Amino acid sequence: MNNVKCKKYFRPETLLELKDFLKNTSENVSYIAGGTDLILHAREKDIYENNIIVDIFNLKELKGIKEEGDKIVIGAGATHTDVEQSDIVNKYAKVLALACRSVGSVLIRNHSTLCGNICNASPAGDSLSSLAVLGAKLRVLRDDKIIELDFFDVIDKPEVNKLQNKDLVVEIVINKLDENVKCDFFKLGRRKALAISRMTISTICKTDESGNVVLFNITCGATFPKPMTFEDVNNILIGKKPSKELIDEVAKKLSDKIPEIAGIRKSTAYKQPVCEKMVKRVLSKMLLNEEV
Amino acid sequence: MIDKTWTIGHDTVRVDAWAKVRGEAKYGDDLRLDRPLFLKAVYAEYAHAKLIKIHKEDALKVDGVVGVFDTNDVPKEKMIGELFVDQYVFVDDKTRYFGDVICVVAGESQAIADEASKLIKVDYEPLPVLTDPRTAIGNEQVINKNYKDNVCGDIHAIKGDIEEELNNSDIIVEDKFETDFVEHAYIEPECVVVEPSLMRDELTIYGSLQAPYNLRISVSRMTGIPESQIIIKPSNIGGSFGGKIETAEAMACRAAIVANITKRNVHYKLTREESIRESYKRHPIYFDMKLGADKDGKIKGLKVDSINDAGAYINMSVGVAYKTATLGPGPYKMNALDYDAKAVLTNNSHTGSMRGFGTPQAIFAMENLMDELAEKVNVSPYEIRKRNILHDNDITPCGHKLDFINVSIGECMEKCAKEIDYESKYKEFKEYNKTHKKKKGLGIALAMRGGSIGADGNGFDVSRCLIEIEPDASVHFNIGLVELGQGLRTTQAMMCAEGLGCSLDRVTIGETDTSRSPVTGACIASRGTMLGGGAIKDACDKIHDIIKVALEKVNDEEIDNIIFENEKVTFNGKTISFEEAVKKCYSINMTPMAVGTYQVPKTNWVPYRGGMTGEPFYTYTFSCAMAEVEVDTDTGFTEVIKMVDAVDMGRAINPIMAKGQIYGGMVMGQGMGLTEDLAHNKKDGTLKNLNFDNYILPTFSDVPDENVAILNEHPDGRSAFGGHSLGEPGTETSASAIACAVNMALGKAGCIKTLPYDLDKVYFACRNLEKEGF
Repeated sequence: MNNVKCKKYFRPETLLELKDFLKNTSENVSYIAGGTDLILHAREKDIYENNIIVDIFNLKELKGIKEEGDKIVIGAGATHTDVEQSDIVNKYAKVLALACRSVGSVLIRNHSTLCGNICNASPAGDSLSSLAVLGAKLRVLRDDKIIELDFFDVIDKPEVNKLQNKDLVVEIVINKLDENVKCDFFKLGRRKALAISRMTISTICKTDESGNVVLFNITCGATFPKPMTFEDVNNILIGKKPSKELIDEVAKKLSDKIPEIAGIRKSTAYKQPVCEKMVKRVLSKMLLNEEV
Repeated sequence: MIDKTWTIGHDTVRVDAWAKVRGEAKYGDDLRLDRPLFLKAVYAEYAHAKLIKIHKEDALKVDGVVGVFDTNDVPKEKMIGELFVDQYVFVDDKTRYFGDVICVVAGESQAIADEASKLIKVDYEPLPVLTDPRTAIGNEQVINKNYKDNVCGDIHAIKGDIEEELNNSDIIVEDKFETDFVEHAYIEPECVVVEPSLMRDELTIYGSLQAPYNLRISVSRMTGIPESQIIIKPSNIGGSFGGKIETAEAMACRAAIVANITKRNVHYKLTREESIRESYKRHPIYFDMKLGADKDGKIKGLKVDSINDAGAYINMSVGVAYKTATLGPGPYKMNALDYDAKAVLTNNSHTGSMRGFGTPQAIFAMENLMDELAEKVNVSPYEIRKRNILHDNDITPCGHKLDFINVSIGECMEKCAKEIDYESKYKEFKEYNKTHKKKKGLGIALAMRGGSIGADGNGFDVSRCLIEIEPDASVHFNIGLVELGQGLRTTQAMMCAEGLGCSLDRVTIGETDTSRSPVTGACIASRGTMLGGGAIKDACDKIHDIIKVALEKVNDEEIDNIIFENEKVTFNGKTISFEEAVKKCYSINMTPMAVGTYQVPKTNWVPYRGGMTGEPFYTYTFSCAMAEVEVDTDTGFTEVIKMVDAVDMGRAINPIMAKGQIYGGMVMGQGMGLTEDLAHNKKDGTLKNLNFDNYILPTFSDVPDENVAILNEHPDGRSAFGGHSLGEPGTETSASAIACAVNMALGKAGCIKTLPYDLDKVYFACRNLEKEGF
């Protein structure tokens, strides 16, 4: 931290101490957990000069992953490794465990937090598409009270979140998926580790006894300015029996969203068709057990 | 040459292993001299612009800033350069690339220097920027007034009558290929530390310095201080791959100037971004090739026009062109060669020494062309090479008769093919690819590498060392060849022990120090083992002579033949210990100490038909790499499944580390082949990818566990200890083998013509092939 320019560096020992501190400060607060983003940002530009950096990495209250009825609650201090290796997450939200396993490298994952991945709001954040299909919620400490915000409402645009000054995300809440829900997470990078996502695809899907799709949510990441899911894409399969034609339709519709939403960029000529091909590959394997 | 060996040829723990794995070894930035000044450079805002004025006032007002230094502070010569002196250490008349340094700010701390450097304002008058060497040739915009057409070098290797051979060919293969800038990506960014003596006009320079004696000349020329009073002590160096010569030298000159003026210690390091911005790169090279063969695919002639992008300064571009032209044709038989290699100045990053030095690019072009020839003849890439490779006593493409060396390229190829199971996989993959979107490929790349510098350095390829046996029979050994992480100090110590006939335990190899080691050529051109070995052998022979004379005097007898071997000294039917022999020498006050010198014999490289022909090198290393890949044609992602690299480095002095060099070389080639891209901006000459987040090196996850390094040893009679070159052969073939494998997977030889084969490029190549009906 010696090279990070900031007004003050503060490391509370307890959440209570942090709450006290927040009540009594009107300064700009930046939180640091794993530091795998903040330290890099600070190295590039002095953007924390007027901020107090509050280190929450050691707060025991923010650690851990637990069950709360039909919900999984992930503490803001949980690292990607914690999430990746959590039995609860692997059982009830496998897509998130897979996504967390694709982050950086083992060393990065041991230190970086899932919550940091959200708040950093990078479109290339590896976990975001999985949190999108899971419809995550965030519990936020604001003015000494806990409020619940929708994950989609918190990320505004690339690298910008909508949290207010001093807001502290304390927990990530996810509705448990039925154990029979099939999950897939696909990541495309330029190399196998330490790769900035060029694209991620997160999929959750459940079929009933007759083979009809009862739950389906698919989206891609690193393609849109913020995490998004699409009802019109998902509705193509919901209530129907999966077929090659329907899968092709999903693939076409989802990949067409890339230029629709992000505009035609230099990367579109690559990303749009690759998205279409990969969605076909993922769904054919998942739903038809076919390699395409 | 030695037959039975006691030290060399045996796996040996490197002499610096423990200090390095424990983290105790000191690198340049670890040095903490008393109250150093810290430097921060201000870089050119334009790649090509007249320098009008530097506004230093605001920076000078900052508390803790000691000074701002620019070209006006250079007391003597303003330029440096190893072969061509054309590089300003501070921008003088105009900027030539975006890594040029306008001035340095010296502050009491790094933070002070960093902050103050932001306050420097510079007035420029922008000039047109040349970023493509092809259009720079003859352009009215001249970068260096001594080279009016921007062409700074032109090497032309010729054998036979190319036109006649091409006219008489049954098959002609023509194609064009391009490669891009490649960063050395040493783990340690450059750092230099300068300590001025307060006793006399003397500077001691530490840090990441690959070529200490060249640096000494430059600092001497800039400051006017004699070479004897410029002491270079390279620190431990965190990788170099040819990259810590001119850049580190320019830095050391700036720091030396500041130290000399202020009489303060100076600490000057680069961030990764500064390192990539300022340092020179591997040359992008453009190839235009035409190959003629008979109906069986036997090569008759090869004609190549190549242009390398020298960037802003000549640096090693002419030497690189020499290796492209003389080694680019590969280890193939041909009646005629016409290989032209031009070096052209532009406003891009300058380009210089990098492991391979002009051959990885040429091999990429040549091996793709060979695959295209195979396709036309309808034989496998393996078969086409088998039909064309050199054998003992054959004459190389440049005209060198190979009657002095095992021409082991065929063996290297066979060993690789066996290891990777080429024959059966080749057939299997062809079938497999008909029905799969993830397609498989095998690629082969062959090379012959000249040992050391070559005939362009005829007469100045020399090395020296100093060996001193102490009275207790321990050995102090000093050599100016620098350890860059490749294990050089261990191999040199092993050769010293072998040469003296003592155990390795006796030998201490001192840190390189120009005040203790005699002047020697740099640790470049894969020459350390062969050239260092030659000097060591000479010194050992001289010491043996001294001990022989001593024993004659002490024993009062004549000695005809004396053998020093494995801690024993045998003469006149007697055997005494090495220690005893040394003690006898000292007993009559004789000194078992000698300077060894070795010079590569001049080779016959002569003018011919407007170019040069004959013997471009003294000896050669043969190598073959094979790669197996899987290409996802839906995404363009290439996975390297396995690589094999067989190298005939003569003798492997330390076999386990020789393998290590080859393993590392394969990975380096993998990056060059698939992912490494500096994102050169063709409009303004800048590079966008200045750190390793976007400059994509292979990680452990990307490197196959299955890679195999094969030592195909045939000790070389032209090298004192039998070993010739390994460093560069270890990497020069791998990018090409991968490229050829990808093209096989795609189903079209020579399909992708530019490096690297990244996601987008492979993806769009697949789409284009679909359109063509593949």
